[in-house]
Amino acid sequence: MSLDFNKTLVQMTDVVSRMKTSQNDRNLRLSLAAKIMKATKENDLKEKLSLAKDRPFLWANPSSELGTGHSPTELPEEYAVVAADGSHIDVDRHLPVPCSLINIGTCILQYGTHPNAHLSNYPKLYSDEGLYLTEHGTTTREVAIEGPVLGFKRTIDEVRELEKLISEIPPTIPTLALVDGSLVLWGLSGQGYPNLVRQEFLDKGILPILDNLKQVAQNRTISVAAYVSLPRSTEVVNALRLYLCDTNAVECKRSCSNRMSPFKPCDLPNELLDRELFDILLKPGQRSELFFTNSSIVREHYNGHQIYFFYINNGQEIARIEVPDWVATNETLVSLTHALILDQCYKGRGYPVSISEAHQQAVINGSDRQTFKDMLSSALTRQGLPTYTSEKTRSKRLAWL
Amino acid sequence: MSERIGEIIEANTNSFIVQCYKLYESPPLGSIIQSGTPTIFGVISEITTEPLDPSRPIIAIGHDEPTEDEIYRSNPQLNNLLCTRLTSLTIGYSDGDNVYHGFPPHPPRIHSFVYLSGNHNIESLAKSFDFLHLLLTSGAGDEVISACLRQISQRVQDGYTFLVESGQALATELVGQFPRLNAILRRLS
Repeated sequence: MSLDFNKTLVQMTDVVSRMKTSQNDRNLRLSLAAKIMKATKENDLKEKLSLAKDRPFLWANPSSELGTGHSPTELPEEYAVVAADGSHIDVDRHLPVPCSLINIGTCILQYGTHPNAHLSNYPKLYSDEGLYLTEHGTTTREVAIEGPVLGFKRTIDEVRELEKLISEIPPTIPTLALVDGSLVLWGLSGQGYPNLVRQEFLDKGILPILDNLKQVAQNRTISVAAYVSLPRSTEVVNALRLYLCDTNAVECKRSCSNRMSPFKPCDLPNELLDRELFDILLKPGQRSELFFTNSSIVREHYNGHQIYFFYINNGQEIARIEVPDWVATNETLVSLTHALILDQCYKGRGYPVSISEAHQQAVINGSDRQTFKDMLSSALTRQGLPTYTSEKTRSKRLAWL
Repeated sequence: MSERIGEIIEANTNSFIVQCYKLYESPPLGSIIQSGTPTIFGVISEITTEPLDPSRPIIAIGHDEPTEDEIYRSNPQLNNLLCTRLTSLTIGYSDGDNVYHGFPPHPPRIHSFVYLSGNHNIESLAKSFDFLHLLLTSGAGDEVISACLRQISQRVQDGYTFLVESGQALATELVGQFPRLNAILRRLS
């Protein structure tokens, strides 16, 4: 039976009507919030934020005023952009062979006197012991690499690939390395995963990669950035909330949530997004000030690798750009990152063309997934091994009457 | 052996499709190319440039670029994402000793290398006009036939005589089709 669109449409209409009713109020609050952000003095803000502790939401620490916009600098004559993106096939218990696959797509684009491009992809199949994280020296403590854990592994593989891509560019050419998404492994915060997972993906994963990239950056001009399209972050909005807040932390913790506060005046930015504010504050091409994230995963586990971010108006949308501290504290690298990302978005019609092409190399579509399953069955048959699937999968494929 | 231009990506006994190694670097329409073992000869009847991935539409992107070349300089990935393909109509094959004007027993293998034919092979093919019959029955257009004959005439020792004789062969092949014969001959002169 297909989805009953009539019943769904009635509910959709109701949702959209509610949105329309609250739209005017939201626009007024957005406009006021943007004005306050623009008028905020750096010292007042830093002082207020430095006193804030133990709140039920995450806020960003600004490196300067909240609402300032910076225009891009000129592009260098010669430059390169490298990007990596990934896609995966998760372990499927309905398949006869437990296995997963990560496909990393890469893109190297060189601009200037010798424009060039190199697009590629590297699928890697995991099975047997490759499907588990095992604590060194034990066989009892292990975590299956599937679901979100496979997602972490893919993210690390993407960032690791950037290292290789950079090494393929002549060292005299300024290079920007881009990944889609975030440099912060948000999913690893809290107590959701054992230490083993954090060790694998942080201590043996992203941190040594960031160390290496920082080392490489001492001898050549490279920048590393993560690009978030249509971000839903509220860290800057929450910094504004804290700036406005005159409620004590205990009361705030009891009554406020990550999305909203019942108190005045800090209810002003309730449910607003960072990108909505910067849509008002930034002209096309401009970037915001740099902020650094207050995330507990970075604070507690990134070994001093602070992750900064800024927003950019690429002419089509407000995107969030995350950079490591050694980029954020180098004005030349920030300007280079800003100018090259803007140019990439211009060439890619609103999204960095290099990430877009890396994605095209990585993507595993529905038909590819079916072919993967068929190839697996054929491989088993060739070896004289039994192929089977679950009755559940079979019943889904053949909905009999 | 002359320069390798690409590989066969689709083949049957009477035609094959070649993907060129370099974008826009296809021999001209009517050129004679060869591939495989035994060597199969074909005439280029169509040249197409299109996206490698047919699901990706091409859109106009050069509004702010001063020149067409600048579009490719600003978007170097285009050279990797577009490709030039050509269709070749089979006109004969060789077992190493003799050239046969007809379809080979089997089509060439996929990924067979494709080369522009050299003067020696073209001379061998042009000794008989049987290839014209194959071209005409394979559905080659007038432009393809005339382009092929013009090109052969530039590669054989006596091009003028070749053109005169090919006109006579065409007159035999196109009996009762005077307008078509006339159209091809006009293009040869």
